[in-house]
Amino acid sequence: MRRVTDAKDYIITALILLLAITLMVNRYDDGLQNARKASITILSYLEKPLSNIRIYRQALTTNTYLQRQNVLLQDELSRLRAVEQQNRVLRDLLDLREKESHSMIPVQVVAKELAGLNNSLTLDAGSNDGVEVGMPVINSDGLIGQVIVTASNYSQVLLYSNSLFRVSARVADTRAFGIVSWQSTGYRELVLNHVPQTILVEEGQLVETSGFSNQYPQGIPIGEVTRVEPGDGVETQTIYLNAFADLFTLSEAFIVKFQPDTTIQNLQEQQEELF
Amino acid sequence: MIRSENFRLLLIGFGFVAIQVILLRHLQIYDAESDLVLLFVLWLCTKKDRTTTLLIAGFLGLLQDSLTDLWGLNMFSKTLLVFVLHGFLNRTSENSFLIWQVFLIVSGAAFLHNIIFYFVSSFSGVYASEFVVFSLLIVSTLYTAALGSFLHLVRTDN
Repeated sequence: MRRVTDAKDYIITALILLLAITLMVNRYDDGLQNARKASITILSYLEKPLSNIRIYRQALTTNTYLQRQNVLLQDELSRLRAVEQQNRVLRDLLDLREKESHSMIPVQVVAKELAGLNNSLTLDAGSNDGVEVGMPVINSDGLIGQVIVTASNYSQVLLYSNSLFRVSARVADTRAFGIVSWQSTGYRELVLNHVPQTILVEEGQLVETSGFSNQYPQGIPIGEVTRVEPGDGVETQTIYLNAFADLFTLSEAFIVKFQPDTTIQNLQEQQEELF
Repeated sequence: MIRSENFRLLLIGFGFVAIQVILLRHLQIYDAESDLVLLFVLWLCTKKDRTTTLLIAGFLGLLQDSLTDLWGLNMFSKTLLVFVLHGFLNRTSENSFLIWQVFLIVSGAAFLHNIIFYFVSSFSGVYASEFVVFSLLIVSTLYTAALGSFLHLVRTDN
């Protein structure tokens, strides 16, 4: 009896396997195509309710991928923006160097102190590079300050936003001469004093170094007039200007190798001796 | 004439095929899916005689193949697996197993099934990637064994 059952099992197994092999071999034949179509149709009906879940899962995967891509692209974009900004600054500095008649020392800012009244900068060039006390510091936007201390490889700059800073200036294309100083009302707001009220000064006019003080070469842009107020009880007016150079974003600059005219200095000393 | 109990098993098998095709086919890990129909066939081996199990396994394999467009692959591998393992599984049906023993037995059976499946699919040219070997033989085997162990834990004797 067992033998008969075994034989039956062998035959059934052989038949099923044979049928399976036949299906495998003939799966692309015309006979099975209709069955395949029918099975796909049935399956699509069965899967229809679940298709939304699958779409949701795919959306989650896509979302994660896109978020990752977004972070990478943002990172790349900010790096490109920084490079573009630096490129623009360096190009401007290059143009300035070509235009400027005095020779200049390119420098980078290594430290900044902009929070108080005695603001200053430290630059990566010192006496070994030919930097001397009194030399003006500029960038492509305008005047930044003046070197006040030098070491062998570093120098310290008195910024325009320092309460001790003074520079002889004029309103461009006029005869309005005066002294520019910083009054700590705003970190880029400077004041031009000692300009007679008879001289008309308007908003938007350029203020630049006059060269009278024998400390700065003439024609370095300082800022732009923002408002003009008549002085109380005096014959001069107070001219407020917005400095061109942005000290907070400043990272590269030039030290102008400007030497005061010794003849003028000698004359000034002789005059002081006379009186 | 089909006995009512076998008919009931066939209907339950339909249900497992439906769950497999509709649900488990999409719950993939490393492109591998667990095989609920295989677990049902293994369970059948412990409860029914070889002839009945062979017929039900062949039929459910064919049904699974028709719904997944793998004509003959599951039918062949499940039938051959039942033919090979039925004696062993039927003999051990009286024993009660710990979960790790169930995991081991199902792993072995699933591995054998997947090897047969892989060779038959290579013969019919369904899969070409070597990645399938890893996902089918390793991940799918473990996934099926894990599902089988879980079902063993939550089953009732009735």
